[in-house]
Amino acid sequence: MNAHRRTRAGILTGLAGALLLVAAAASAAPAVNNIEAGRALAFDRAKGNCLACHALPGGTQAGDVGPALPMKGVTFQQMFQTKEKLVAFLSDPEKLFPYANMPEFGKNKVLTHQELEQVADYLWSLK
Amino acid sequence: MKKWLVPIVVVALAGNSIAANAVNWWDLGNTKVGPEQTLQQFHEYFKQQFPNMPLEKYALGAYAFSPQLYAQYQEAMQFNPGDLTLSEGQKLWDSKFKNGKTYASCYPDGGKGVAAHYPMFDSKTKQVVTIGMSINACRKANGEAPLSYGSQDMIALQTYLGSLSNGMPVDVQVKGPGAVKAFEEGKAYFFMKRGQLNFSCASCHVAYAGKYLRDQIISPVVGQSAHFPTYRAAWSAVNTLQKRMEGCDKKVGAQPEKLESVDYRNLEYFMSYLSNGIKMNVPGYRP
Repeated sequence: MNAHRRTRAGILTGLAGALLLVAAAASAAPAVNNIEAGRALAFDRAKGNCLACHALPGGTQAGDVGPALPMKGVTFQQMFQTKEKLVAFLSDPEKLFPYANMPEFGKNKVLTHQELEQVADYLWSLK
Repeated sequence: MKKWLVPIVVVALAGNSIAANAVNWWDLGNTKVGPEQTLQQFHEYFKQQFPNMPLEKYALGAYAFSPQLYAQYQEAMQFNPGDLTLSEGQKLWDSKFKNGKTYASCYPDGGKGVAAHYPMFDSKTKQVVTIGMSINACRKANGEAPLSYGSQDMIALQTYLGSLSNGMPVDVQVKGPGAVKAFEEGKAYFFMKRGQLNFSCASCHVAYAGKYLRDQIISPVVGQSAHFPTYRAAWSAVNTLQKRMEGCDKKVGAQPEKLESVDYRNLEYFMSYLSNGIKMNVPGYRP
């Protein structure tokens, strides 16, 4: 009887813990729709148009003037450490690399800050 | 020396020697070196990029980089739709002004080989004169009203006069301080980043020549002027190099200039000089 009760309690605690974990994961990782939205922006010729210069997984008619993404041997996490730094790079690439041949997506208002964050979420998810 | 050290040293030395001589595309934009050295540096840069490509092949633009595309080009050139504009131009060229003269009377040798030397710098007016301007100057001298730049008749005449230099190498002269100043201003325009997308002409046509932008190969600047006016499938028509500049300016989100503006003429002067030595082929055919 005691053993039975203990088991029930254990299951309940376990369930509560699992729920907490799911909640924690949801707040740390971007919502799936953010990644999807970022991908759509990256592929859209009138928006990010990343494919004009970079190959991306699943993209067609991609250019090759910039490196294929994700880059071989270095992840976005290794390169930028935080997603905020990736957003800052997309916003004004010349600030980080003076000879960058890349549009200043944020500084020149090609994309909004929210859109840049979505693109960053998408790029962050590439492995 | 330890065995494993040898390859490392060899690689390091090779790396150093390449780095010492490599021409960086952004260093080509120096507007103090003058035309001769500019041309030399551009030739050296492209030679490093494409060691097996002879200079005359630059006349093919993007087609030089893909055998499949080149096969399509050869087929298209058997009946270049641009030839219709060429024959329109010939008709206009041969028709008489009210005074009984023709365009041929304005040019040495009836216009043969003339376009290969254009644009040229006029030291009297201190500005770059293009083929289009020379056509209007000819009309004025014969009591005719000028044609507007970009009009069908003007394009057809530019095309025909250009074709009278076909097979001859581009030979643009930049001599004297005024000419050099115009050349350097054209060079500055070429290297200046502009527009919402923040690209210069050089960003693509120097740095990324031969590479793909989406599904299109980027042509190198060397050789571009030699086939204009050109038929472009994207236009379904023949048009001029300056029309193409307008298109590029618009694509990068910059304010395009008017045809035959000072900037566009200086830019055409600079670009044409970079094509010196490459054979004219007007009208060209491009995707």
